[in-house]
Formats: sequence, structure tokens, C-alpha cells
Amino acid sequence: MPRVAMGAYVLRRLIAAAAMTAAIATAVFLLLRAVPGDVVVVMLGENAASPDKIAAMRHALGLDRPLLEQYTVWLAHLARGDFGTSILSGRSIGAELAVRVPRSLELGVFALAAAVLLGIPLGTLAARRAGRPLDLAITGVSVLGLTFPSFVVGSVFVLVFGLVLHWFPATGYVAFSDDPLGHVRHLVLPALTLALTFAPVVLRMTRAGMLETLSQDFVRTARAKGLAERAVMVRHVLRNSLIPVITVLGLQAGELIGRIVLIEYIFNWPGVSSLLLTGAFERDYPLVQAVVVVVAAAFVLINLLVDLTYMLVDPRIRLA
Amino acid sequence: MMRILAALVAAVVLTGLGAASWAAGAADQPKRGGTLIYGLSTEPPDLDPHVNSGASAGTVKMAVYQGLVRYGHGGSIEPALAEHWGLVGQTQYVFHLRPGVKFHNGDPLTASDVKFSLDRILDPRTGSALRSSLRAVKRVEVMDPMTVKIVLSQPFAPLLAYLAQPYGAIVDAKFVQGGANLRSTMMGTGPFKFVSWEPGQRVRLVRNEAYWEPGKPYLDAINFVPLADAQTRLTALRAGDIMLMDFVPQEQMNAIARDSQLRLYADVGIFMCIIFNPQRKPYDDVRVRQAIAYAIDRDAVVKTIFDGRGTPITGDVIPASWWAHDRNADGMYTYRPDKARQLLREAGYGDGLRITIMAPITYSLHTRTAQVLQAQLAKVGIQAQLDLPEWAVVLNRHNQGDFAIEVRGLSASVNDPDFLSLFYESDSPYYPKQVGFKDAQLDQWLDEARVVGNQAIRKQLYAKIEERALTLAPWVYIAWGDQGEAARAYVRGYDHYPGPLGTYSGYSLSSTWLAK
Repeated sequence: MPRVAMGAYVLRRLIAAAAMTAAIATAVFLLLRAVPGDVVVVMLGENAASPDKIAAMRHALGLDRPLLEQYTVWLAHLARGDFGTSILSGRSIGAELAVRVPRSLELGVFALAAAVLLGIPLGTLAARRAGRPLDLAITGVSVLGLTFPSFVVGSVFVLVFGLVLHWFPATGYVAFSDDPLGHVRHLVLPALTLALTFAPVVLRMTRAGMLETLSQDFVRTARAKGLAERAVMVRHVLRNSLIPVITVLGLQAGELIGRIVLIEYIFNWPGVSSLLLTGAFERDYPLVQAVVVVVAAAFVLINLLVDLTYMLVDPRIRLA
Repeated sequence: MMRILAALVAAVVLTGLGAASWAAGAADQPKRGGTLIYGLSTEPPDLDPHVNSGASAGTVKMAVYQGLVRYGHGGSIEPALAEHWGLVGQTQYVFHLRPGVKFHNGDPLTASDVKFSLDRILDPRTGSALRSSLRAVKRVEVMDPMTVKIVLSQPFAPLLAYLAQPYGAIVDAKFVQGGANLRSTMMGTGPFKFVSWEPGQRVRLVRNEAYWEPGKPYLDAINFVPLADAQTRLTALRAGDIMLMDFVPQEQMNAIARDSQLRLYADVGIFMCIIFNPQRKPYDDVRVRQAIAYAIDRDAVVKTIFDGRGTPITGDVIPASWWAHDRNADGMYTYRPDKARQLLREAGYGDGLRITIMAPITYSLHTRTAQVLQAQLAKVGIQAQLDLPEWAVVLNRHNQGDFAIEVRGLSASVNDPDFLSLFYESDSPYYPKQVGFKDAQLDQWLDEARVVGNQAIRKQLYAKIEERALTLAPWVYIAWGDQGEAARAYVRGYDHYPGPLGTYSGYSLSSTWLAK
């Protein structure tokens, strides 16, 4: 494929991604305002009964302006990377996200890495022992992993490793700069819980891909020309089996974002999820909008990266 | 021989006793040092000491700020930044400030800081918690650098009780006028100094070395960690990730009390009640409201909702331990299903009544109460449907009068029966106040009771108020239940304040220490 065509393809995908994010931003803005509940009433708390006070506060916050005006102002700021300030805390949302997003990202990246490190070797092992007891054991356990929702696994981990064995802290977070070892110890349980919910998927895709590739002619050829089994496996079989694994990883990375919210809640990991939850419960519109836009943008970005990765791994896709 | 033996025995016993009491003394001797990790149910939405942003935020602010007076152990009002005070005539309070007190930045505490702070509380733009309660305050005068006078427009008996709340905090005038944002930073005279607020992670305080109370505080530092989910909070406490937690779930209190590793600090602190919307039929009919009051089996509610840790309210809602509690009203509303059915018949609902109960799904205490009520009301022929929106929606619908019957958990915000005026007074700004309930007679009595200084006369007035309010039944009281904190057993010196003052227990963090 000519370079120009490829550049055009990437550009097209980028524009589509930006349009998608803008559409989500609009939907979030409108949906939030359709939900009953009022941030001003929550904010005024015990003193909220007087309508004058509510009106005054609403005016001060600009919530009494026409919806279209609020929307355009917000979008204009957003386009400049300005997320505004939280209604409830009065703090800059951008600054808050800058602290929270890396924490969620860290959790996600470690979980993804752990899932790959668990899934691919075990999947390979299962494929090579297909139909034998070891394969049955591995695939059996992976079915269990698929079946249990992450919040159940998380709660069991808290109970077993936190409360009974005291191997790891049950909940919480310590900044890496304060205590590097403590930071990692706090990371282990939530990252592992997340990893376990989709290591089975990686495992099964690896196993299936390997089995399919193993039956191909070129594998027989490789073996026939006297290549060591190890080389056959790594160079020919594994590499050719990875495309579906990458697809699944891409899809799972999207799902991961949703699961992180749950896991952060169970383990009290101070990432974006607590921001999103407080914002949603208290109807802090700009806060919820910002978090949803960032998460949606991350989702769109991941999908874009997955598509672009295919192009690198499999030349055939470039033609599509 | 016998004598010698007796003397010997006595000596041994005495030595033993002495040793035992010495050992106990050593164990109770506060130890300095250590960091307390305190798990809070809510991350403070802001740090402004004059604004009520929830009990958890209040605990944080209380460790940093102080007012003229405060609640001491046991709930009595004691001097804080004011060393002593006097009443001049009926309407002037003169406060003499404690000499030598410094703010955390080194500024000395002066009368102009007190005036600045009280003026800030009274300024409507602050949105302070005390403004409407302190509406009797006409002005605040600086008499000399260490003396300040509060001038009232009329006598006001509960003034000190309100000023002792954490919302009466004294801030540094220069610091605030210099542009400091009190929503995101703290600087007071309290036992702990503000270090940092890392959103979602912690609020960190360290010991104020220049604190005026000798020897205190004992802790080097406190880290307040937000842990929104009650179960997660308790798990973190059991695992030792945190050492103290607020808002223990009621259903777990008995288990915590039995656990030798943990200690429960709880007392009656919250009461469950029903609020009617009297602008809607059939709740405009007092007989229907009374029928519902008679249809509730309060003992069963205490058993199921509070795991037995509570007291039914059959009459006066003022806590039984208070001087103003009216014993004569007790027993007015007990479980009398026949009476309930009779009242419903008289009101024209002998064939049954369909109602909808609103309760916030956000709080399990409220939803569980609504479920129990649903079952109990069915027995007198009332078919109740549950309507369970989130808290933010409940607040909004309440204000708009968009509900029929609502379940709420409330408390007395002040250690004075004047808290009733928040519930019954026509122009009360209180958030759960009933929409459209006005009674001129109650307004008049509440006004009188607030002005009178004589406790015996006040008690009589509050008895009249309660009797009338119970008869009109704009609210139906169900039960007081325990509320409180839990800590690791090695956390010492912490104290849960009695009754409705429980949310001010944070004052005792200055005497808290770690025995490990």
C-alpha cells in the first residue's frame, strides 16, 4: 500500500475518533441535565430549604443560564483543554485528573501486563498438551476465572490475603514517592484481581490460535526441515497465533476501564472512579462530564491504537 | 503467729494491689508519638470551618480549628479560646480571650480575629451553618485586644451551645484577608496543623507544637483517608490499614463490640422518623397521620434496623437523658393496630389505603426502615409502595414537595432543645423541614423558650411544644439508634460524645494516643 494511502487512512481514523469523543461529550452533557437531582441543593445541605438561597447559588454558578449557552461555554473551554472547576470543591478538575488518571492508568497497565504474562505462557502450555490432564486443568481453572465477577474475586482476595494471611494491605494507597515498597504492596491485590478477570480470555485465545496454527502446513514444513521444537513454537506458531490475542486485548482494554471503576472502589484505590462516583452522587456536572469525556477519549484512543497495531502486525489489513 | 501470718497476708495483698494499680496507671499513661490513620466515610468536599459540609469533614476541621467555647468529654460546654465570659444584662456576652494563644502561622489570637470570624459566619455569602441559628446576634464589638462583646437583639439562651459547635471556629483575620482560600486550606489554633490535602488519598495533619493545652496533643500526625463504602472501611479497620473509622454500619456494631482487637465507640445519635406531605391528600387529615403513628411497632424497628442498639420514641423526641425531656409524653404513640384501624375508618379509609413511601437508596438504614414500615403498615390495611431514589434526588423532591411520605434519619444538631425549632418553626431553613407545615402557636412557644433563661420555665414550654407537635403529628418519630466509631484496641483516649453530640467526637482527637 502506498504511503499516502496509509497516511490518509490514519488521518481518517483520527478524525472519526475526535468526532466520536465530541459526540460522547454532547451526550453526557445532555444526559446529566436530564437526570433529576440538583447540585445546588446537595451543596447547601442543611440550609437548602430557602428558595432564595438556591436561586442565588444557582446564579453564582451560572446554572441559571440557557442550556445552549452553558453547553457552548463548556465545549469551548474543553476544546482548549480546560475542564473547568468542580462545583462542590471549587478545585480545578484538570489538576485533579492529572493526579488521578495516572493512578488508574498504572492499575490498568499492570493488570494488562499480568494478564498477558499469565495468559500467553499458560495458553501455549495448554495448546501443546491439548486434551491431556494439564490442558484440562488449565482450561478448567480459566473457566472459573471467567465465571467469577471481578468484585467477587476482589472481595475474596481482600479476605484471604488481606484479613487472614496479612500478606498484603487489604485496601488503600501509598504514593510511590512516600514509600516505594508500600506502593507496590498496595498495588498487588487490585492489579491481580483485574488481571485474573481477563487472563483467562488471553489464555483461551492463545490456546485456540496455537491449535489452529499447529495444524497448518508451514508448521509441518518447519518441523520437517529439522527446526528445534522451541524455535518452531516461538518463531512460527506463537507469532502467527497472536493476532486474535491482540484483538481480544484491545477489546478487553476497553472493558478494563469499566472494571477499574469497580476494583478501585473495592480496594479504595484513589483513581478516577471515586471522582466519578462522588461527582455522580452529588450531581457535580462539570466533574462528571470531565471524567466521562476523559474515559471515553481513552476508550476511543485504545480502539484506534488496536486498529493501527493490526496494520503493523498483519500487512493484509492495510488493504481494507 | 496468727498475727504475723495475717500481717504477711495483708502485706502481700497490699503489694499486689499496689502493683496492679501501678500497672494500670502505666497502661493508661498517654504515650506521645505515632500517626493515627482515620478512615472517613466521605472525603471532605471543602475545608471551610464555617460551612457544614458533612460530619466527616467536620471531624477534620475540628482538629485544626477552635471556637470560643467547645464541647468537652461528656458533652459539657467548656472554655476553649475564651478563658472566661460573663453576661452583662440579658443581651450582652463579654468573652475574655485566653492569653498567649497563637495561630499555626505564629500570629497571636486577638479580639479582631474573633470579630472577623463571627462576622464571616453571619455574612450570608459564606453560607455558614450557624447563620440562621445566630440571628439574635446584632453585632460583635472589639473592646480591647483580648476582649470581645457579642450584642444580642433579644435574650438567647442557647448561644453558648451553638458557639460550642465546630462551626463557631475562629480564623485568622489577616490570613483570610491576605487571600487564603479557606475551602482548600486550613489554618487555626487547634491541636493539629494542616499539611496537605491530596484529593482521594488523604488529608494530612501534624502536631501543633505550640498548642496551648499543656502536653497535648499526643499524636505526631493524623492521616484522614476517605473510604466511602462502609464494608470496605470496616475491612480496612480489621486488616489494620486504618486505626479508626467513622459511621460504623449499625448491623455490625454487636460484632465489633465482641471483637477483642477492636473497640466500639457508640451512643444514641440518630433518630428515624416519617415526614408527611400535608399538602397532599390524605395526609392533610391528622387522623391518617396519627393512624400511621399507631401502626408502627417501634420495638420491632429497633430490633431489625439497629440490631437492638436503640430506643423506641413513643413520645418526646428530646433525648431521655436531657433535662428538657418530657416524661409525661412518653407512651403517647405505642403500637396499637386497633386504634390505627379505627382512625383510618373515621377518616374514611376503612377499606384500605394505598400509599408511597420515599426513602434514599443511598443509605441502607433508611431503605431498611422503609421496608420494615411497609410490612407493618400492611397489617392495618395500608398498602405501601416503596419509592427509592438516590440522595440527591430525595433532597430535590423534598424541596419541591414531590413526595407523600418520606423516611429520614436525623439528629439534634445542638445540645439544646432549641433544635426543635429547626423542625417545627414556620420559617426554618432546615433541609428536612416539612413543606407547608405552619403552626402559629408552636412558633410563639419556640420563640419564648429560646429567650427565657430559667431552665424550669423552658422545660415547661418544651413540654407544651412537644405535646402539641405530637398531637398535630407533622412528623412521626420511630426510634433513636446508636451511631458511632470503631477503632483498633490500641487506640486510647478517644471518646464518643453522648447523644446527638456524637458527630463532634472529633474534639477528643487532641487526647487520643496509640498504645503500641
